[in-house]
Amino acid sequence: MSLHGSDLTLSSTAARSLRAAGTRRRRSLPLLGLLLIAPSLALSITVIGYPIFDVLRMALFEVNRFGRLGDFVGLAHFVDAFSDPIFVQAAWQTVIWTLSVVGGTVLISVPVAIILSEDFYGRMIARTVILLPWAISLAMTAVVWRYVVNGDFGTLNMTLSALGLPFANYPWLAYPTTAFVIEILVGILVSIPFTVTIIMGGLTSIPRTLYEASALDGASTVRSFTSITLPLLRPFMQIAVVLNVIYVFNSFPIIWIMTNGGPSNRTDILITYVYKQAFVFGNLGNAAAGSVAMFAMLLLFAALYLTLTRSTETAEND
Amino acid sequence: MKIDRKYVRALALGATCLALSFQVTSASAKDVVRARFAEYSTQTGPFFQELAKKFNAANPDIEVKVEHLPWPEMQQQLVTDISAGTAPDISHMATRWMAGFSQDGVLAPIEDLMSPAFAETFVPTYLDLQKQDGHTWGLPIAASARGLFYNKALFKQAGIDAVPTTWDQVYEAAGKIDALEGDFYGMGIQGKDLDAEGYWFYSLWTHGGAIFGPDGKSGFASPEAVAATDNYLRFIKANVTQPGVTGSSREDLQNLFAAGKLGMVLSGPWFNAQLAEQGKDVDYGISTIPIATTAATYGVTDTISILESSTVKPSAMKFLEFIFNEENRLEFGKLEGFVPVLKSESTAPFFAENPKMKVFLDMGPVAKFAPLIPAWEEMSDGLRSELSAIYAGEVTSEVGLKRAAERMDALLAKK
Repeated sequence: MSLHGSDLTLSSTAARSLRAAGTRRRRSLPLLGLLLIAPSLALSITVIGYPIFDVLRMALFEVNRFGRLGDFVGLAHFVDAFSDPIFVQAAWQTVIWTLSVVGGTVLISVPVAIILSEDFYGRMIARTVILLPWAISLAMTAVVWRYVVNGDFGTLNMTLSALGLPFANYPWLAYPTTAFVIEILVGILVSIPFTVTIIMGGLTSIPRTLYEASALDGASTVRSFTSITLPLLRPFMQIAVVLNVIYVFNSFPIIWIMTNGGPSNRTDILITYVYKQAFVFGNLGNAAAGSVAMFAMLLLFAALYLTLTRSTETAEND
Repeated sequence: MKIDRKYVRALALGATCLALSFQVTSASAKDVVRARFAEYSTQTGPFFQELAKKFNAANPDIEVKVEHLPWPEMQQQLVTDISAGTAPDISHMATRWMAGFSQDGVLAPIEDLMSPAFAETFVPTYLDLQKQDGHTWGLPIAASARGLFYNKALFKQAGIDAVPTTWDQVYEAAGKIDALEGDFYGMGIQGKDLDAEGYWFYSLWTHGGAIFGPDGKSGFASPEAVAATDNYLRFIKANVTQPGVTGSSREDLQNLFAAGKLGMVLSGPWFNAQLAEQGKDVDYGISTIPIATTAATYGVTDTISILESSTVKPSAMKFLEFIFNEENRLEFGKLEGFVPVLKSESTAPFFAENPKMKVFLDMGPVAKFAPLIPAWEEMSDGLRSELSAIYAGEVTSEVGLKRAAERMDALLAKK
């Protein structure tokens, strides 16, 4: 604990001096600074702001499937979307999907990153293998896994039945539960490379000397993991969790390609629901309302994240 | 400074002149017609590219540019292009999308663009399907009926002598095939993805049911519809179908049949082409859709239309008439294995004398079609979803179908 505390003081002193330097610079040239960032600010606002504005507009007006606007309808599209039982079902499934994929990814990525930061023979190969799923497009990964779990011709069942297990032609994607579990596992697989990279970055930022000192003080491996590694990894884990939540919440290809949201909409998540509404049924208004709801949820999450990180920062400064 | 300004002005003037001259040349030159096709097979794109080349050579004042896309991308791409104002002049589409597009005013009526005798060359059933509100919105670029594909070798092995013509006979035959030594399944039933509802219509229509009831409301929950669903349920409960009906798409069933593992499956003429490539060892025959009370098959057409936004409609029509001339159409029909849409095609030996095509022609008169109403995609999705729950045994036929019918009625009331 003492080690942990002393490190925090050290890092927060450094942070404070950095921040002080920033303030000084800001104070000396405020106008020029603003002027210099104005073009990029304007560009960001246009590029990011316009689509949000457009979706909001579609959510509040009558709209045909080509995006042509009609009369103002207020919250009618929202009422339509929220009263659709499939929307509510998809919202729940989105929560399960996001929690399971992000949770699973972090649980697996931390030990993997720790192992990969150790020095061992063939480390480069192991690192490459872990990062490999990143190099393949999500759509292709989903297509390949759909074939792998195919009941009659899939390699999964071939392997399982070769091992003597009774899965000769088990149709994994035909049942909602097994289909969803498989999709979550694929989701975890494709999220691991990114998460491992972030956490490995975090691990290299932890000074070796801390471990050496704690070892001298007689701390066990478990103790140095819980008292040094985990607390110092926290900011990196936070980034990994937040970014993963955003990506996974909005992740479309895996579910769309493997089950199309079926059977009976039981693997639909909000993004596949919104896509169907917009491009299959032509209900752009309902789709826009659904998108606004999704946007609000992610915004809420981002705000929560900001307050969390800010409160830890102030705690550090005090 | 002065010199600079002059220089800039001269440059600007020069650029304007250049731009203008381009404008003039392009306006005085050919009509450029962009035609977009959906791919039925890997040969569709090259076929139309070749046709465009021939057409361009014969019509120096028109230049046709062919684009081709896979089916799953067509709808979204077309909607996006129409919204952005970059739609092609001619586009291929599913006939059921045409219904919505024509109501939205994005398609051009073509009855006045066609040459006088041209409309007469079509089989009336298929051209009539492209008409709505007194206008013709497109031409039937593909038409198909469906039939029962059966594996002759498995029939022989299971001791089935006569090809089953009723559902009871199919049920009996499926049981015999499923009982054979090895991984063989009796009858394929589709429960997922594109056309899963179509697979149910075979049973619905042959049990005397209909999509619309006599009161103009949904016919999904009629006693005939329940009987049609229970017909499939007995196959599922007796385990004489492929495993995992709710996970099987049309492709899954076709792949199983092509691998020689499935005794019977309902499919269309395009399946001949796949079997010729991937199922060379499968000795199969094609028969009519089994019946309970009524003979029926599912007829489906695809449409090719001219878009309202096109500025070269007459040239676009000229290209369409070229595609549908006797020679080109016959070649296309042979290539993709579609049912003839031209009267002249129907008598061609390829269709009339080929046992693998003839059955689809013979069933033409009993063909039924999905309704052309704008919210049909949403209605059929609701139906698919409920069917999947019924096949999985989560709800009874009565309950699931009632929900599907309610959803359809709600959508009908809304529009």
